[in-house]
Amino acid sequence: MSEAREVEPCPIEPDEIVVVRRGPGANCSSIGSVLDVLFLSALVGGAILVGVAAAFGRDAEPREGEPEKPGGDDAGPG
Amino acid sequence: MRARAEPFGAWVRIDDGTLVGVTQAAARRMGVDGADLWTDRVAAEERTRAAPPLEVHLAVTARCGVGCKGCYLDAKPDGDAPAFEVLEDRLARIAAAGTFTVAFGGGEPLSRPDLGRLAERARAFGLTPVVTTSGIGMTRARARSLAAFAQVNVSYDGEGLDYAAVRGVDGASSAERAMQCLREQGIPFGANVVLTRPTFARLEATVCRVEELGAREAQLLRYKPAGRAKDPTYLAMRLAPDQVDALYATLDRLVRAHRIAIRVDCAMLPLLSGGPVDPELLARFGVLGCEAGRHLAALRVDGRIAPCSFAPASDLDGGEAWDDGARGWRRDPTLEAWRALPGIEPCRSCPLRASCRGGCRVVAQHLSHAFEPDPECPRVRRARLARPGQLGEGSLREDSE
Repeated sequence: MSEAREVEPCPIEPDEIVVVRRGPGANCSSIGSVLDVLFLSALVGGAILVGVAAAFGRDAEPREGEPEKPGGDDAGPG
Repeated sequence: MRARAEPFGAWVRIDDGTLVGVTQAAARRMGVDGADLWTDRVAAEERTRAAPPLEVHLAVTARCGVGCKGCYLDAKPDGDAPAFEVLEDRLARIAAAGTFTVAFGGGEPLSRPDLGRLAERARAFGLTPVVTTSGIGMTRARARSLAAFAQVNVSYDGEGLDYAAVRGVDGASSAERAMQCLREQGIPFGANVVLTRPTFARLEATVCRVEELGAREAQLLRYKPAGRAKDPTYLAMRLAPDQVDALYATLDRLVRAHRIAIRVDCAMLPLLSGGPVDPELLARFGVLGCEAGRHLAALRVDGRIAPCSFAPASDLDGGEAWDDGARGWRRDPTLEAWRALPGIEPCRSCPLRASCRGGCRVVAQHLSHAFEPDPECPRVRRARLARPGQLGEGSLREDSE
């Protein structure tokens, strides 16, 4: 059984995005990352997050309240 | 979309080019069930410590006739090239581990006539395949056969003599012809540019040329002491301290001046510590430092797992690393040592620590024979000058949790 599986697209909000890695890049020796957001205005970063959220689907459904969980929604990938 | 549960929610690949971490709430709506990753703190911490890789670097051959002087794999014309079925099995296991991206390398992957078919198998397993090539041997037909790859990056350290200065071979024209073939066939491609002391001054010209050739990105790589580059010439080839200090401003100019993406490799991140880098932006936009043995793994030609392509092999075979709840991956001592978060100064108090993770261990091992803070990091350099002999001695590992 695979750790990962296919899921259906589902609308999300930009604030439900914890991290975005843009790529895919191609390097067989080390892992690379796009750097532009470090040097461009905050608007660029915000636009990226909005664009990524839009790629998940349109018009996010209203969200129900979620109980606190260990390593909950506020924790990053670490 | 391919998704994998994590303590924070889930990783979701929405297309070839975008990997997104979403919250538990969003993941749940997509049908992802985090089970104990979302409900058990111990399980969540263990997962964060030793998550399966996001990306695996798969050496598909150790064969290459070019003879680049800094080849990290020490590839040779008669190097080993695993059978198709062996690589297919490895791809299946990489996919079963929950990996999203597989980067094919070597040796020279184009030396394999079945390279395109391997990419198709990777796709069939749900992976996003990419590949790095010198471009030697590329033709229009070969380029067409690579259509299953999300991206092909051609090694290109500069025009003409600059390329030869880095690799010891005159390969620039072959690389440019390869990029032309890829462009004509509509295959997305980029260029991998190794930064060295002799060629750093012409980096901006190199990126201009890469953009002219139609690349979608220029990926800047730190020169590393591995394989044939693990010799005294490393000290002459690595960036000089003043070049490292100029790196942030150089990248700023490149990003503003070019439409193509500017990407840096993991080993470059510590070299930016002297600049005004926002750690929250690094984290939010997935800019990774050393993820050896964590978000990154390498699967060597001999089938053994290594923390990254430059690192020594673990005792694990790729056939067992991710079986039995990934027990081998989580507990192998080599992988454990490489993935540890730095616990000593000047890393411990560094605002970039969570992303940088102590800098390049390959460089540290070469220069210090130990897991020390990256000695070429500007912050480490300054700290050692201020307190000679008092910093960075011993392991990078946390003293205790």
